[in-house]
Amino acid sequence: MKRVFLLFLCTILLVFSAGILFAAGSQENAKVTLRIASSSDGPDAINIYDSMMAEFEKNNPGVTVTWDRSSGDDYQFQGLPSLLASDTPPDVYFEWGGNRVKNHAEDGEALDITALADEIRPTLESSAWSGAVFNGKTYMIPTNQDVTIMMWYNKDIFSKLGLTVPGTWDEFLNLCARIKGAGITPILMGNSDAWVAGNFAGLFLSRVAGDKETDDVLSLKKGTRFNNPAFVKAMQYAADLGKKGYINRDVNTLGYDPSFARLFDNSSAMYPLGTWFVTEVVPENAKDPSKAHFDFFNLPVFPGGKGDQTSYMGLNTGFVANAKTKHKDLAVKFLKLMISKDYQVKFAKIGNFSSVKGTLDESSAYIRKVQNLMNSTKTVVLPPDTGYSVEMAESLYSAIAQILANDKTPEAALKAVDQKVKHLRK
Amino acid sequence: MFYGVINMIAKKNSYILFALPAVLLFLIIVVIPLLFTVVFSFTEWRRFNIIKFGTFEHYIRSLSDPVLGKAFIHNFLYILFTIFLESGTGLLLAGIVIHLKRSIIYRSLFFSPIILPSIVVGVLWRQIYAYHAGLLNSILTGLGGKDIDWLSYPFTMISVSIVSGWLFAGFFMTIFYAGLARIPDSIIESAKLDGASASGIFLKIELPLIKNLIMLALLIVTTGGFKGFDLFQILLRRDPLESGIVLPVFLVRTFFENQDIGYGSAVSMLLTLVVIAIIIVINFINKIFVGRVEEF
Repeated sequence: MKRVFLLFLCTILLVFSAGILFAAGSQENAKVTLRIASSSDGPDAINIYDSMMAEFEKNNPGVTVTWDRSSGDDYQFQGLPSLLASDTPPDVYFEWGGNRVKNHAEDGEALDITALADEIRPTLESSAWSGAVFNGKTYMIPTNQDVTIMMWYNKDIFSKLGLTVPGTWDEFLNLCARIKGAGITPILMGNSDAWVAGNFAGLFLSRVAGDKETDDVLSLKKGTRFNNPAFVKAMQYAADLGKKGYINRDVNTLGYDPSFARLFDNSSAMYPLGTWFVTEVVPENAKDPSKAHFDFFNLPVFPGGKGDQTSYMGLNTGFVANAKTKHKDLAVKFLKLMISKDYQVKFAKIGNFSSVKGTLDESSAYIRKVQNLMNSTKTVVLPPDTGYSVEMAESLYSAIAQILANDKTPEAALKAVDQKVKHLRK
Repeated sequence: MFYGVINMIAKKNSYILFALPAVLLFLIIVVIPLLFTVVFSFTEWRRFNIIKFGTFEHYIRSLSDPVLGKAFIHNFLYILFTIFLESGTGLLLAGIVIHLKRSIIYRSLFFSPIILPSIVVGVLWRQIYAYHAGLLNSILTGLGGKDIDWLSYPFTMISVSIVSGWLFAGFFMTIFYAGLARIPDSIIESAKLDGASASGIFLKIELPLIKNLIMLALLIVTTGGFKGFDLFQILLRRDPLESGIVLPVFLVRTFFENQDIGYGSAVSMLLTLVVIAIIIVINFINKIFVGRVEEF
């Protein structure tokens, strides 16, 4: 009798559990969740994304959009790889154009969205597609075009000391000497995350050693070496800045966010940073940073440099649809909404450099100046950490940090890079 | 059939049933992942996909990896410093607190840092160590000294270890306090009657009676030292100078940032072997110098 009762109880439990699972499965089909992942944004951008999500949900009944955000460094190195490897990977995710998108395409994590790209192509700046297309297929919808290194300077300090924007490296050094003489730190960087100085001095490499030559070395092409005379010469410029005390002494331990405070107390004159300076540092003056007493110039001409001396370090960013998503149509639809002019105008208004034509406010002198910078050169240098192998970039950034701190000579630091990337060359 | 086996075990060797859940958990959580790590260490990966089996390259590479070498050295330095700053300070605090009236107040005070989240501790100490207008440098310059970059070479490891000591000394104080509190008053009273000083009582009577706890603390600090990650990550961020890179940070970067599962697994195996070797040495020391401890 006892056994019969136990058997009866087990049967009831099994039937009940199966019912719950079935019901859950049916609900799953009725309700679709579209997952988006990105690095963190400012509150203004989040507001725009929120309204975009609301509009998408309204136009697609039964669809819920969720957004997973983590800080830039965490997202880039740990957040996104973990999410993509998880059971609930994002359907659409933010990416930096270049090597990272190429890797996703090769790993089957990026959907071929050439059809959508062809549809919207006339509405985007032609330069926006760099880093989004591989082997003739488009894998990223580029929403933003950024200059990653511009020398931002405090106009008040410059005017007080009677300084003008330098055209050559020697003029730049003279300017640094005069700023230092006034008891002010010429160049400020919060490099504890390694990429600020890595991007800044990384541009020295292509300017001095040549654009193709630098690309070959950073791509780890056969027969190339980091410890070569042209790279040593380029890094000597960085070493000199450190040696002469033109860079804050705590460059490698100062955090990125805390560093900005020192721009506002007039203790530092210049900060090499990208177009996002306006959204992150002076968001209240995003449309016209000169109202916050800041302006920028491109890096000066290096004497005898083999690379294009008008080049800038730049990057396109955008969103990728996951090739493994169960909701491909919805993901593509969301990308289309994201790149629509209505939303891109909103993003442009908060200081983003949208890649959609006609979204930027050209009445702003600042916007026109950035556009001039972008249009004045044919050479856009990719940042080492997004344009090339992360492991190589990490080794190079470490070398640059050691050179700036004068912990190592350029030769010794670059030799260490060769040693660290030896296994990547196989 | 299954019921029969269970019934047989239950009748003859019931202790197996009691041990089974723990053994199963241990297998799932420790043994099986360890075996996977061993296998992975001999495989070549392209991001999260295996592309080649049976390679020894990761172990060969580890022998000449300059960053891994630094990480090992830094880890041993961290352990060395924290032996004194965590367990040494904990022992000292316990020795003082045990003789104080209303010791619960002091014990709570010294224990309190450990309840703070690591992120809070890290951010707090970043402010203290900050080169520009940090608390330490403000004091230093106030006394006529020069600013020091506390989180840079050669101060990095000692600076992080001090934070670790501040955080965990209270924990070790609690362990030692429990041991000291178990020593019968009669022993201490006899020593006092014989004219022993307070320091004499502590060094010659109390310390020998809690030497088993000292060995336990040594074991916790040593093995825990190989797991130190959060403080390093928060205090040093990406540590571009590599002046404070330790093995857990190295492993996280290898596994997640470089997505080099094969090499990460090989380094994990080396680390496991080192930790096992250290545990054997500590157990050996324990047998020779501590032996059996008298229970009260």
